[in-house]
Amino acid sequence: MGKQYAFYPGCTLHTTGVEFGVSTELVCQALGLEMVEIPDWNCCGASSAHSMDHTLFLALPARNLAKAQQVGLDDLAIPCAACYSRLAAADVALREDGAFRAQMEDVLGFGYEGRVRPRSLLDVFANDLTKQVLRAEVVNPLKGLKAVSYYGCLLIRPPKYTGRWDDPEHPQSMDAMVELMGGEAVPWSYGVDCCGGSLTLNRSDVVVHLVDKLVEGAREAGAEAMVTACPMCMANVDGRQKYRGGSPIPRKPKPQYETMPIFYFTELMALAYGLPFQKVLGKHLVDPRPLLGRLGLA
Amino acid sequence: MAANDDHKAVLIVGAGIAGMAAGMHLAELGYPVYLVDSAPAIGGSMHLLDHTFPTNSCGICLMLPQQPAFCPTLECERHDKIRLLPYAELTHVTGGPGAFRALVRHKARYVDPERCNGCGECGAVCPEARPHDYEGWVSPVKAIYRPTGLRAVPDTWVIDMEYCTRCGKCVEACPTAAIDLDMQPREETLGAGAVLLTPGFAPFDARIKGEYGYRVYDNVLSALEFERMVSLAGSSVARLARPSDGHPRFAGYRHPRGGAPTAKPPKRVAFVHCVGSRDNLCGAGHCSSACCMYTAKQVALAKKLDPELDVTVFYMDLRAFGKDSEAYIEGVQALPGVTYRRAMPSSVHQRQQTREVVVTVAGEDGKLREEVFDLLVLAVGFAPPVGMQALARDMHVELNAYGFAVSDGYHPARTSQPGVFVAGAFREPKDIPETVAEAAGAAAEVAGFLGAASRQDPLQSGTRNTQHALRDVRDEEPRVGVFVCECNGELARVGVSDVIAWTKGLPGVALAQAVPVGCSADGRAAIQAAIEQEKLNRVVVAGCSQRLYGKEFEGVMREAGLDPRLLARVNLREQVVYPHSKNGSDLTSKARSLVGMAVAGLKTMSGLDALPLGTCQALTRRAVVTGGGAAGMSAALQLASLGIPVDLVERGAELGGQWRHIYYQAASHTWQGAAPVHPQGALAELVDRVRKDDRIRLHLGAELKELLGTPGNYRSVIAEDGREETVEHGVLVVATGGKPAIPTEYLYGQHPRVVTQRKLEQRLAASGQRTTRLRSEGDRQAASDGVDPIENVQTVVMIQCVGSREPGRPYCSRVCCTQAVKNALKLKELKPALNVYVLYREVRTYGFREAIYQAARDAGVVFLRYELPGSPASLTRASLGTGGAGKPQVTAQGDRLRVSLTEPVTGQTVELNADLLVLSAGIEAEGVADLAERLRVKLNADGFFQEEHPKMKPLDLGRGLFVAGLAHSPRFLEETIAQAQGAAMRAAAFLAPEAVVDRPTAVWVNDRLCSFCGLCVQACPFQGRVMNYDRRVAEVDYSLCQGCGVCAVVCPNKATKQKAFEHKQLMAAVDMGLV
Repeated sequence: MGKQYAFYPGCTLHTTGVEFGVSTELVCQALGLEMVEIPDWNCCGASSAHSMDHTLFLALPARNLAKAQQVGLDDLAIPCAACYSRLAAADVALREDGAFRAQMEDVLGFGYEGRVRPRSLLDVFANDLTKQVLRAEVVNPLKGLKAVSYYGCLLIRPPKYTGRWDDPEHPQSMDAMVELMGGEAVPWSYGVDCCGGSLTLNRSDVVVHLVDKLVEGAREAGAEAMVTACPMCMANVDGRQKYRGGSPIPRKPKPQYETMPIFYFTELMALAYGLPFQKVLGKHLVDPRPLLGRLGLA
Repeated sequence: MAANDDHKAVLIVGAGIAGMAAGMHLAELGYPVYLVDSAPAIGGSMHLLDHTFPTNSCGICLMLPQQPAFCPTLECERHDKIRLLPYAELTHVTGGPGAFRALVRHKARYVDPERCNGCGECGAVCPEARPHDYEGWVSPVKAIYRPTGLRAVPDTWVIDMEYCTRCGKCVEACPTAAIDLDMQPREETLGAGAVLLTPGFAPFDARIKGEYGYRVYDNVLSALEFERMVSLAGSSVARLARPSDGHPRFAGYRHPRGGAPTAKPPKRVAFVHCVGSRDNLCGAGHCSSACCMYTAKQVALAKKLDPELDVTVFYMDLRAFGKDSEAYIEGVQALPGVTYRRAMPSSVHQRQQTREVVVTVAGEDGKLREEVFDLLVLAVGFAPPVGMQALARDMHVELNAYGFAVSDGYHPARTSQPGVFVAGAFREPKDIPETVAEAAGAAAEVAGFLGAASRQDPLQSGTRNTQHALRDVRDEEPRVGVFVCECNGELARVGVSDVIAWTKGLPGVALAQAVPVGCSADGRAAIQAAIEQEKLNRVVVAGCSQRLYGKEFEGVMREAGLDPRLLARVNLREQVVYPHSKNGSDLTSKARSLVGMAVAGLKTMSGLDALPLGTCQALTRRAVVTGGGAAGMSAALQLASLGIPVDLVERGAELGGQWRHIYYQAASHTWQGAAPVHPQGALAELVDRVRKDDRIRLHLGAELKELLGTPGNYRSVIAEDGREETVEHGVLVVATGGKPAIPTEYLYGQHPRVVTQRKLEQRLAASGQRTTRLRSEGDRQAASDGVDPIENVQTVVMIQCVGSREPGRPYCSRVCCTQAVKNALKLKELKPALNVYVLYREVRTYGFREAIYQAARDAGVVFLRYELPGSPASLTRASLGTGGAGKPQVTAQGDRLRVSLTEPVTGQTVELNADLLVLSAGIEAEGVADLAERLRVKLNADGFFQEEHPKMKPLDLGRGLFVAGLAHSPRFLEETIAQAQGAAMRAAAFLAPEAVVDRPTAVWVNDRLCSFCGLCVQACPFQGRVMNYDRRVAEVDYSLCQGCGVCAVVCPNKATKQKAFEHKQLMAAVDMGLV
């Protein structure tokens, strides 16, 4: 058995981002990584807690760190970018803010050791595994798949939380992953732009506008698909291309508006590794199967 | 350099403009100078700029102490007292002040400077590329490359081992076996009495601000790269181009990411200010001071290259605080197609197909909008120089939070380590004029610290002519020897043997022979031997330019007992081989012509006896300084410390000038651990030193009535107590100072609650916990009347730019913003609950003063902007169409005041009830018009003294006339002191030769032929011709004559003759040329 990681799946991997969850599980198995799910984890508070209460916003992920400590592994792998950002922020707060740490230790009944390092799953793949290992499993190279990597706001920023495992403004690790899987990583400059996050419900006009910019940027760059590591980005880019309603300002449908499929990076890995995965592809709102079919990949 | 010189030697770290200027001044005073630079060639950032604001010319040679001069890089190389140590680093310093031992590490160059002849064969065969020093991969060079600069010093190639693969092709190709791939770094220990740090700055690495996409997006350039693009010296040869288009001049440039570029010249260019400045997030909280102006210059240059260009400049505050800067930037803003916008881009993208740069920025309506540009230029700030952190630690020199050297506010060149001095951008980011002035000032401090150098005999100085026992050749038949240098084979193409054979047939030629390498020791010895053996009395050396090896060949002549003027140099390299090799011309016939002309000219030369070589005119080693304020006193003390007696003339009854009204400083003015010195304490100490110095004669209540005589030998009439006294002196330093402008608006003088910043400072000094002795009676009186700024005051409103930067007083007074912020902070310190509002147009807290602006905002001081109508478009609703809404309105509300203004961002009216209104009214020059007339010098449009060259000669009003302090332009106390010390150094360097030696090619006048027409007086560019009405002859002032020969050309009677360039000589040469 390969290296062990504590694992925090977060809510979305079991619900809206089930394709992320399934593909992550399959890929980790294929790569021989053992993901030990932390016991009794709770919501990280990402999308809404911060607008309610700052302490709660940090306390929710802090509890997860407390639980992760019990696993006994130093590296805590987190697939979802938002969950990762919250746990990393809580870890920084616990480490640097004595008062907060004392309060959390009291409330949660644990002693902060500072040993557990929250890490993005992409970071784990890109920096713990060699290119040879990642490439070795490829049986179905994603030849012809032109994809832009969409990192979003939270995956590698702010560096204060994330610690610069990739360039915070011009990251490359997901592009490298696409290339390793046999695809073509298309350079573009919108990789760390915002998708609108949880505004998708109360200000869908804003999110539709931002998603349009992303998709236009990707198309201008010559891409046919996008890749992400964030369920929130997925929900917005996938959902708001198709369901553009709810806007207080009625938007004219664009002539010849073409949708662009978006994948989790683990999905592309699962595809390239030839893992039994096809059935969840149907969960996407922008169906990627025509594109994959055209390229002979699915 | 003798070992016993060590304690007088100065080690200068950094050979940029500051290091070269300081080094030349010190060398001129006789101090041995080591000039260390980490780059392969000296010159620093200056090499990049062939246009500098505001003259858009270079003119860097003007900064040198002795005129005329070549470029300082060449002068430093030529100067006997300066030893250049390029490509070397100071690594460790031991010993103490006055006796430092400095360990210098010479980096391995892999090319022997003694052998390299700069032919470039190595570069031609080198298969590896490295990025250009300033242009990066836009214009790659080979791994073995010639240092950047048209005439790099030293002009030796160098290998960048980071890119070299040691293939050995260059070693094979090198004709002089100069390349050694196994060369090792070498260490050397130098003794020095003082160390001067002038390492300059490092341009901020824009990659740190990742959001701008520098080095990621193709068409995002740093200001440095753009500077090169608009410069003739750059790879695009002053043509605008997008790097992504693979401009033909960008040879070898490969697009890093493929793409499908479409070639078209850029039409839309955007500039972003403050990249790596005023930005605490990237560790650069300071303002870099120079970027606003250099951007304006680049905009002007770009518009000159393409008048149709659309230019947008995104900025935070326009900091045009320097002399004449405001007018320059207004001129740039008024250019058609140029838009200045107060907004900073929030993000930058690149269109992958067209490679256009997409900038997201707030639009006029306050909403974010995307704008597309062809080029985006990042105005990168000044970061601390690389490697200085460790060296400063080693030398115990304290650095500030930004990584620059901390210096003493009252002695700006001193660091926390005695004997170690600092000047230029490493003390605080600054522009060229300030750097040039400060470098001279630091040189003065160093000289004062070291004590007098061994005095030079003007006739023995290496840069001047040396009197040797020279053979009198007047009665000898001309015997011309012609030596054709083969320049190591480089001149083979001229057909050396043909030229020699032909030359031998010329009348008067006694010898013509080839020399393989004339400049080498062997070659020179061979020439000297031939002269002696063949009894030659005229010599022609045909080879390279006379600017090379001048001293060496002069030496050969003297050793052989010949006047160096009997030597003629013929430049076969630049004038024959280089220009004609590729166009099929007949090289041999041109070479023959040139050699023949030289022979003919020399043969007919006479008149060398008209004036003996080395005529001296003694200079008066005495100075007059007018003005007894900070500038005048500092200059006087500095001159005295350099051994020059001074007459200090002060109009008033008291010394101190405006310094008497400064009660506290804006920020810490010394290093940690040192006790802070109160400004009035520092002033009292300075006044005391001036009064006690017996080399300074004080004239209080006195005035300079008249200036007579010539530079170096002036006579001044000083009126004191109704008496007039004539003082003989060599130089004059003008430091007459300035005065605060009196506000004429905002109810000043009509309402007791309206005061000036100075009055507020006096009141704060009087009412603060740290009660201060108020120096002047006026201040004591002022402090006791009017409104107490603390008691019963809830709201203080300050208005900036009162009467400044508008018609009437269009310039910026530079200090008012900092003074207002300083006073606002003091108010908050004394009474934190006070409301303090500062109404401003731009906040110009440049340099490290930015920190107190930040501190004031943190302390709760509210800054509100107002705009004048017609001001450049900023991204504000109020400014739509008409520019700003105008000045704040002040009305009396009984005992209180009401201030209203339209806030440009919201467009809404803000009403403030003020208990105290404080006005910042700026600085005016004082009583300068009369003085300027008496000195026959000019004032600028703003009424300040006009220096000879705004960038390179900022302290000179003319020969022997210098200026410093508020008479020059508004400035802070520490800047005034530095500038005054600089002016003192300039004056001392002017007097350094003790006597002026006439130039070898000086003119002389045949009195009988002179018709006293005066054409020569008009023609002389140095004012060196004088009408003598007694003798009715136009005489030559040999202290001024530079030997240029212009007067000899215009003289209708040929009464004026130039030694070594007589008419018959020139006619003979022309005749020969026409054969």
